[in-house]
Amino acid sequence: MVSSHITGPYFGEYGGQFVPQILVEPLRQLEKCFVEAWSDETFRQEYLSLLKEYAGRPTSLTRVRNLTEGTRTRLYLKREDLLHGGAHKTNQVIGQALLTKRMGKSSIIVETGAGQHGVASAIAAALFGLRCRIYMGRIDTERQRPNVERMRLLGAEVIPVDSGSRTLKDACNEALRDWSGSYEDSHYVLGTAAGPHPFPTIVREFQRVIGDEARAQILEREGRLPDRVVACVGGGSNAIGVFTAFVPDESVELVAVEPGGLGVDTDKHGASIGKGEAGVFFGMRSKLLSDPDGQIFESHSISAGLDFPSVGPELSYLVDSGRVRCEAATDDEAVGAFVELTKGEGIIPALESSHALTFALKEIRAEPDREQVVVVNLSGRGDKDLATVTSYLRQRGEL
Amino acid sequence: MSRYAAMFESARAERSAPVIAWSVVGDPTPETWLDTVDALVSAGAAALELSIAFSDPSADGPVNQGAYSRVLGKVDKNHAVALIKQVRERYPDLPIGLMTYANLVYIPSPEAFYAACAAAGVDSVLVADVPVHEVEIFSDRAAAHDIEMVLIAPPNAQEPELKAIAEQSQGFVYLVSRAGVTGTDREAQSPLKSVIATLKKYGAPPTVLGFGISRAEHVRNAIAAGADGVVVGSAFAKLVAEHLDDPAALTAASTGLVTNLRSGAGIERAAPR
Ligand SMILES: Cc1ncc(COP(=O)(O)O)c(C=O)c1O
Repeated sequence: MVSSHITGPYFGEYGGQFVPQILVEPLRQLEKCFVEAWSDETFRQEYLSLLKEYAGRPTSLTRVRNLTEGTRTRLYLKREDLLHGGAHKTNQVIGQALLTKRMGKSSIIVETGAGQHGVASAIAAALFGLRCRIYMGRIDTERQRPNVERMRLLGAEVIPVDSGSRTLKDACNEALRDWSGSYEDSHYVLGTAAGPHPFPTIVREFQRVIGDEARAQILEREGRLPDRVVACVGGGSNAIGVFTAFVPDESVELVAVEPGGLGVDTDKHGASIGKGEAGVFFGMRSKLLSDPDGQIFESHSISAGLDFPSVGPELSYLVDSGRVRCEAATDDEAVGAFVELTKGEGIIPALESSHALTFALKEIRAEPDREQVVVVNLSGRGDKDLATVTSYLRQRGEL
Repeated sequence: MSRYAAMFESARAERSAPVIAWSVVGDPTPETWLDTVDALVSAGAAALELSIAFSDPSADGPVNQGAYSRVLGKVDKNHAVALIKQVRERYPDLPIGLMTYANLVYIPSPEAFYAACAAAGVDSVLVADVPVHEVEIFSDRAAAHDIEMVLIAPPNAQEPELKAIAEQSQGFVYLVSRAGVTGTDREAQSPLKSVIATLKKYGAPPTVLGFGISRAEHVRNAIAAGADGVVVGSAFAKLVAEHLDDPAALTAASTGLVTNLRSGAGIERAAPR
């Protein structure tokens, strides 16, 4: 090993730094900056006070009133949809924006799928006076149009990506390409707990506030730990964010819900943990979907934020080691849960988060007599998905 | 002696530096590709650096991405290996390297990949997204099949990296003189003399400059700065894109490109070594 990594680059066999040699130096600079900043009380205070005063933390833990009727489950939603920007993404973007300033860089590069990470980044760029270039697959710019408009109004440049499947993975490639030529003055604000080391660690540390809060909140409300914590998985940031605090609590079952698309036994899904194998993509060794030649699979999901053929290395590891259980929800089920929460509780969830909700409701209803406490991470709000859901329901004749 | 060592030795004897030609196997079609390889080699390309098309080439600019997408779904890995084998049979002494991405090596298994390379007569493999501190992922399988492992030395590498690259790169070191991905829109710059000096200090094999080489002047500058050879890549892919319907024009243009670059590859005085 040449690089003396400050934090561990591997989670079991997963992780590492599979990038062109030219990106090793900027990654090392980032790692050094993060490690120093994270042990600097002034930095932490600034970060925490921004989360509180600017972004609106702590977010509420809401007990579901109607959807659990007829069961003995007490279901709570961790309300990341209420965070400024509309999703959990803001937690870590604020952290990375502070790191950008600390490294003396003036621009940020961003990839986005659903546009939530793009919106959070555009917000942070406006706040901190950073130039912001956002890569987004052409298909995603179409299916998440309100977020594109938001990003542009916030002053960011949104660059549609026409290569490959024209979705999130291609935006990731484009961001890496940009960064390999612009690292001198640009930081790549990677949007999930994936990619080359040290991103999975940095993003986890900036997202673990979700689980830290949720754990304290549930202890206060219930006087005990939950039986189960459920999160959806795209790259893994909201899941690792809500799980981390609970990982040592062995009695708490942690469930990661992947996009089942049209069904995990079709070729139209994004179940990279459940159906994938170890491979190397997007700077990391992790579970991924690829064909027998090693060509990366074009994943499918109704939710742009989950439409990704791989997943962060720590989640791959936690699933292999048995700590995290992996499940999937289909497009159809996710839309169903979206509608249920909207009509039943007056909360419009992101389609991504609706995947987590699908699974939680299914298990709860399968065991109506079991007395249990369940937490679902409601990673974002669904305003961006109104067009997708309405046209889906129209096609099914339900609207 | 390895094919690369022989190539550098005979180039030195002829007072010139090798011009290595990169292309995507099967671009734009297998037949035309085989013809352009012949043209490149007849025009004096000293070695081939070949890529198997990959779905997500994150170290490549738009021109090379275009080459990959012309081939993806048409020439799979087995077919590409078979084509390389055909080239090997035609040119028993020509160094042939592969430039690829890690997932194509990893899936279905590194063992299968390096075994196939060896069977096709490949001399070296460079994996664009494996930096020197991650080479263990593949190095034992490469060694088991006598495939040389080529590493990239970028302009921002620090001394400990350059030392590791010098010590572990085999056949040659692929020098990159500028930031960014492949492509001629950012021209090659003269390599940093300090980078070459550091590599030599640690006993590196010969250095070859790539990324952005498209004119004789780039070759001249590279050699003046101490590089031992050059790789031309996207300038060639661009020719393919420009002559999709005219294979004859493509072979002529390929010949022209290599001839032009070679005109910059002369070494005035044999450099003291
Ligand atoms: C609301 C929401 N939830 C979840 C995700 C998936 O990302 P991750 O797995 O990193 O949480 C996204 C991504 O865009 C999102 O917008």
